[in-house]
Order: sequence, then structure tokens, then C-alpha cells
Amino acid sequence: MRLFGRRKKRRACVVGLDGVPFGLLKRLAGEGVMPRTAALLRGGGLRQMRASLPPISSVSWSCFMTGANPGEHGIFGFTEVEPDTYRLRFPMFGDLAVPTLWDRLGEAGKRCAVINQPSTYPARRMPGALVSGFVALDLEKSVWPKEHLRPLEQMGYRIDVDTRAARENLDGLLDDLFATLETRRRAAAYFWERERWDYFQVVVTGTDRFQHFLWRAVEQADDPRHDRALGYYQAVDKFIGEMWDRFHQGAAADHEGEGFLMLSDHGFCELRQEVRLNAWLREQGYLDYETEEPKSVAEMAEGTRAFALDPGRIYLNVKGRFGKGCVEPEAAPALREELAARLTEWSHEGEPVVSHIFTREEAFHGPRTELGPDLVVLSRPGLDLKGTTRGKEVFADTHFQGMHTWDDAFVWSRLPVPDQPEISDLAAVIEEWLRA
Amino acid sequence: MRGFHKRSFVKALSWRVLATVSTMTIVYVFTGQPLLSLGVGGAEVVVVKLLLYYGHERLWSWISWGKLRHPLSGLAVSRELDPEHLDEIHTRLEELGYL
Repeated sequence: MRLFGRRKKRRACVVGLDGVPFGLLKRLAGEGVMPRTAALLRGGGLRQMRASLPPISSVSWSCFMTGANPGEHGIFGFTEVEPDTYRLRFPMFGDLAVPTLWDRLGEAGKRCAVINQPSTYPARRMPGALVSGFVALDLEKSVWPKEHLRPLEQMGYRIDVDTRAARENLDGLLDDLFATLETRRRAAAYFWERERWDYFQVVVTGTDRFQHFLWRAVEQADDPRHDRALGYYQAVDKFIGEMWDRFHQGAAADHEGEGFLMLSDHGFCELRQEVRLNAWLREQGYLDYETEEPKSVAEMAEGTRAFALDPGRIYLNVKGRFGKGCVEPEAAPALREELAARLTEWSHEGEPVVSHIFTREEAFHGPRTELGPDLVVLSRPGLDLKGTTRGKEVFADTHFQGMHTWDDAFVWSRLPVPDQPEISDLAAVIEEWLRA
Repeated sequence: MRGFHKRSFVKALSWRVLATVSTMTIVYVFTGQPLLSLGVGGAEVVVVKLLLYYGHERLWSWISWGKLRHPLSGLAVSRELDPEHLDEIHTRLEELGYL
């Protein structure tokens, strides 16, 4: 029983590793590439985790930071179409329809420092400090409060790597990845000291970029960049170790591991070919365009019954929902079933293309469910579903080496995380820990 | 902000009444002279201290340090992006194969 003094103030520290799959983390820890991570895993607490549907960063991180489903928070992808014109729009932080974890913690008088959180651009006022992550463009609009802008500029803070150059110059991308991780490390050290916080979070997005462009470099020992690839994960491991050490330093440190959490927002696997869903819908007679080389679904022809947005979101062109809608609402359920049946039968080189199909009601719940796609489709590993309108070929080669996966994200924590967690479960676990 | 000015003024007035009455009471208890007690109360220059308190209150209202801000006060803020920013986002998503 405690007679004198106050109970130690609880804190939480979250390290996000964008796109790092459960299997890869375990393997790199086991093979000695990530020794600090290996030490954490030895004590238990690592779980395979399901990402959001669709498994894409904007949706998955929105689920993490709100604890809500897309049907509640309203973010279904990096892109949406305007219902009247089908013009693409990009949901931003202001489109998130529910409060974030740190908004709620603020209500309880807690302060948060959040660095490089994807899908929080432009940054807005919050109880603590925020640096927006991808798709942040301008550092000035990515920082709250503004007093932190100058120090970040002075340390050469980088929001992201330059993916423009990456395609032609993979060695340059590796240099950029190391340099960007270093500025992330400096920013974490800066906010750790400068901010008064109860909740601290930093996300490494370089891991996702790395795997999109260089997946084979880490997977294949004979790849010419294999050693440097492992070096990158060693640097990430060192960063994890630094965060762990900082969290356990000083009188205010929590008990070993309590309040420290690591996660990825989706998994990854090798990509062999990209699969253009809109080309398949066109081939099957559900979609047509007004132009020969359509730049977006806005150029679809009258009579189009279904179209796709990245990565595997299929929308029925229902009358009343979309400007050129031609499917009668009462005919929509049958059309959806027909499409799902064809997708299930769809094969390529003797193997099925699709691994999972979810209807809107299966994938989402909440007041914004109606805004979601009619079907969410996941593909077999190696075949990356795309929502592009370019090209008539359904299957195409690509310079990308890695693709997102749904059910092999990871979470490591000694807090009571569910045995088969989903990314939207974690906010409640953290909140409960900090509010207790 | 008008509401805050009014609050500061009424707060200053109520505190001045309380403080001056207590000063006069103390003087009366120590001296037993009601006129002297009233004189000291008057000598507090009620109006001057009232204004000083009001000014002091307003000055502190500009200092954000130590204030609790409602955490959801910024939730509705949604800034429109410029067209060139939209193009830039389009390009970035395309570079990562998201379009």
C-alpha cells in the first residue's frame, strides 16, 4: 500500500515501422540483423496483426490513430471520387471524421508528441506537438505548434525520401533512406527533450519506401544491394534501441517494457506483376471510357456499371450515388454478387488472382459505411491490385519489387493486446493504459 | 472576447469589495475607530486598485502558459489545398504506385 508520495505517472511510447511484415521482423531479429529488436521479442509480446481494409497506409494509420473503422472515420483510401464528376480527390487530415487518440488523451489532460504520422496533413492544433507524415508536402504546414518549425529546418528534417529519383537510382534511394532516418532520429531526440508529454510516437516510413523499391535486396542474399539493405534494417534497429533506452532512463521511467509499443500498419511481400482492376472490368464489359487513353475514371462512358479505385476498391455505378450512375439501386445486390462470383473464378497462369472478397457491410461498420466501396478485393501474394485507368492489359510488369499485404502486420507490446489483433484495437489499449 | 472582458471586470469588482471590507474590518479591530477604518478603506483608492486588477487580469489572459486548451478545439479546421498541391500529391501517389 502506498502511504506517501504519488503513483508514478504513466507514459507510453510508440514506434511505428511502416509496412514491416511480422515474418520479416521475426526473421531479421532471429538472424541477428536486428539485435535490439531480438532482445525485446525474447520476452514475448509479438503478435501478427491484421491491417485495415484495404491494407493501405492512409486507411490503416487512420484506424490506428482513431481506434475506429473506416465506416466511422471516413477514410477509405488515398483517393476518392467526387460523386458528380468522378474527379479524383485526396482525403486529408481534415476529412477524418472522428477524434484521434491524442485528441481524446488531451481531454483527459494528457499531452502527446507525434512525429511523422501519415495522413495528418495539414497539421492542426492538438494537445502537444505534431509533425505530419506522408502525404505532407510543405514542412511549414506539417508542424504544430509553429515554434518547432525553425529547429526542424535547422536540423535538416526530411518528411520523406525522394521517390522521383528512386526508380532510376536505387543506390541513391538507399542514401536517401539512411539520411531521412537520421533526421527522424534527430527529431525524436529533440521532441523528447523539448515537449512535456505523456504519449510519444514516431513513425519510420522509410521501411515502406524501402520495400516498395528494394524488397528483393533484403530477401535475396545474392542481390547486389543485400548488405546495404540489411544495413538499413540495422539502422532501424539501432533507432528502436535508442527509443527504448530513452524511455527507460531517469526516475520517471516505467517498469520494463510497460507502455512501449511497436507496430506496422500493413505487411509486405514480393511483387511479381501488377493487376489493373479497371482493365479487367473493361474486359469483362462492366466499364468503358469516352477517350482512348483515359487519365482517370472521370473519363468513363455512359453505361459503365462498375469502376475501381486503388488498391482493390470496386464501386458499382449506382443511380443516385454517382453522376453517371446507371445501375438501378434494386439491381445493385445482384450485380455485386455477379461481380464477386467472377472475381472468385478469375485465374492467371493457373492460379486464382483473388484471395479475399469483402462486401461493404463485411468490411466496414459505422455511420459512413455507405461512402465506402461496394467490394474490397485482396489479391494473391505477388499480384498487386491497382486502380489505374492506364493501359488495356490487365497484367503488367512494374519496377516496384514489393506490395502491401493485409494479415501480416505486427504489433509488439507487453500491454494486454488481443490475441488476434486488428490495428484499430490498439488505440483503446494505449488509452486504457494511460488513463488508469 | 467581450464576455471575457465583462468577466474580468466583475471579478475585479467583487474582489475589491471583499478586500476593502476585510482591510476596514482589520483596522477597526486594531484601533476601535470606525472613522479611521473608513478612511483607510477609502485610502486604498478603490478605483485605482480596481483598474490595476482589471489590467492585470487582461494582461494574464494574453499569456497562454499554464492554460488548458480544449483538445478538440482544432478538430473542425480543414484547410483547402492549392491546385498545385493537388498535382504534387497526385505525382507522389503515382510515384509510389498508388494511382
